[in-house]
Amino acid sequence: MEDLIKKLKEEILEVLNLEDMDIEDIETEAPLFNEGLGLDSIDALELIVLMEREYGIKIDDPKKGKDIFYSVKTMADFITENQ
Amino acid sequence: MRNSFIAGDSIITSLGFSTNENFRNLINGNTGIKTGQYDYLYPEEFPASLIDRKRLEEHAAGLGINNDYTAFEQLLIILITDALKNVTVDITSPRTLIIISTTKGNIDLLKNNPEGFDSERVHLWKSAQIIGNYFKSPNTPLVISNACISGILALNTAGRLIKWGKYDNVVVAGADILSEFVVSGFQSFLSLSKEVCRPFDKDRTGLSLGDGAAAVVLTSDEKTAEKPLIEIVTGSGSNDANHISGPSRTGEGLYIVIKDILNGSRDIDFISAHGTATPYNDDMESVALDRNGLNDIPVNSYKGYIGHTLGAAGIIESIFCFESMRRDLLIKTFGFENPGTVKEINVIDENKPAAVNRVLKTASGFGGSNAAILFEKKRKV
Amino acid sequence: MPLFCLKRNGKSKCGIMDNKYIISDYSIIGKGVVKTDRERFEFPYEDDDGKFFKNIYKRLEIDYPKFYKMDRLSKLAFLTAEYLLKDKNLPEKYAPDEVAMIFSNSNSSLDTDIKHNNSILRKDKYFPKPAVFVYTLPNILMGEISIRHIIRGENTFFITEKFDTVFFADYVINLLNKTKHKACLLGRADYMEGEFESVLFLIEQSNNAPKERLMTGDNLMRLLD
Repeated sequence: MEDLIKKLKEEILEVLNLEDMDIEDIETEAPLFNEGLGLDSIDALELIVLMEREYGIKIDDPKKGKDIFYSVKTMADFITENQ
Repeated sequence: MRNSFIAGDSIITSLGFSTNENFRNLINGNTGIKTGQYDYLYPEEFPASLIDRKRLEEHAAGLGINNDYTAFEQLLIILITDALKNVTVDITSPRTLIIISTTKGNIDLLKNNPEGFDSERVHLWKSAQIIGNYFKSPNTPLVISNACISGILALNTAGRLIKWGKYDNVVVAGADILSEFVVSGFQSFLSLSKEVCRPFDKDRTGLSLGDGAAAVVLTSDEKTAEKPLIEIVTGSGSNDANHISGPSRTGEGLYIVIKDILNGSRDIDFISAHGTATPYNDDMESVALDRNGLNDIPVNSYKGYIGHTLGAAGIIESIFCFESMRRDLLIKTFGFENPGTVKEINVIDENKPAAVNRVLKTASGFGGSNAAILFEKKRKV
Repeated sequence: MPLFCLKRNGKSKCGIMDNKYIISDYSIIGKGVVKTDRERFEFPYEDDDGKFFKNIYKRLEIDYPKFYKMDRLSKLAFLTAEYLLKDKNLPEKYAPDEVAMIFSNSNSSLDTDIKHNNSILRKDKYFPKPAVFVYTLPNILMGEISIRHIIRGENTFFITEKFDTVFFADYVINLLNKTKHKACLLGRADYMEGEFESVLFLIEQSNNAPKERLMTGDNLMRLLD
């Protein structure tokens, strides 16, 4: 799980162009949207692309994304459950 | 100050190759959006409104423009020719300008260029120049590329240039053809509906895309103009200054343009809204209408008939408005059954005769862009 | 009253025009340099556009992480606007919808278009990115500037081969005279990898400005040299 979480953080930094940050800046259980990193709707779509490209999991409904992408931890849980 | 009037128009979509043919289909309640396996656009089945390419080939052959011109350019040439039929506007005059409205023009050339067009052809100004040269226009055509509000901006700019005395006539033409480039992008936004789109409906799930092209001839000369006289009264544009792709929850930009044009007046017979059928867009429009006190004014979206035609949408849908005005007939919102916007608005759900004299056409687009234009029919004295 | 000459399609047409508009300020970004009315900064350009823009951003010392999500064209236009408007406090002088934006370029969003196209070339590596696709429209750069500076007036993006300053000067003056707008940002920004330049002018009303700053096509051209 720890490896997956580290990998996810690196991927998030890259895919969302969070240039001035590194993985220490992303708290595993902190909310990614609104507060926290302040991600927006396009970021959510990019995370959906990431899920499919890296983990082979397809998310068709953007509304489901809200729960899956709540935090890095929820993302890791979702991947572990669905792979 | 001078006025600008409609002198001629023409449309090409899945619903046909003239304004009349297109509008007949609207009257008969036919949609051109069909679900199919369109491999050249996307690997999976999806609904789309596509121009009949065989008919396009025949029309192009009729003008001798099958070779040397891309499909995008052929459409514009055919339409401008048709719109000018029986209209005494001289397109070769320096007092006539051509304005082209499109989001992506010949973008498909990046991927598919079997005819071997020069790479410069992907530039919109180059494509416009080719069209200008075909008609022997002495002026460099103006190109407006501003997402889905391009068409309204083009008509508005044309009206202004005539009003300000810069030109006596302006030919406004717009087109966008679906391509893998565009479809793949919208799919990545998860914004496409899996069925024919349902504007303003409580069960709407997204937009449908469509090929589309149209041309309008505007003139300052009442005698040249088509009767009944339809005039561009005024227009306005505004940026939400909120998000580059998501609509503003408060409908800020759209609220501003409507207020700028109507200033609290409710003297409008019909509003042709953008109505793309995405959950957020339609809500946003209802908020902007509500903030302007226009909840009761009959409103529709045409996108259930021909899909979202992007750079051509503002022009095609304005022509549909002209037809409504010519026939005093309101057209229902195809795909709409039950109201489902956050603010209550008066969505037209069946075709009905009505006095249609003053029409507001609105559009919104990526980049936070919004625009609206006011048309008025001059009643016969 | 100034004599105002329009040269279009090779013919000159002169007349008296009540022109109370001036080019009150401007900023330009080219390879290795940022220039405004008052200052000129040299930035090292080592054949790395991304690094060049990042250095300019850092030098501005603003906290705007959205910058990193922009495509190169939007970054270029954004930075040009930042230099022009950073000390201006536009909101103090104008309501948000009183400031219009007129932009043009020759390449549209082609650099980003090519990136998006590359992402769909191979069926086995078919991953179009929404964060790239959204920038395949040239007017998005105006959206970025509007969001940053809260500008809600009319935005229009034209595609022209060259910067026709005569046409745009005339269009902007009429826009300011005949619509609700009181100021206008007139810009041009072209970006292709290794080849870029941008300029942004602020056009406002003034009763006493040097005549070389009157809003005319020639005066705009002169500032570009």
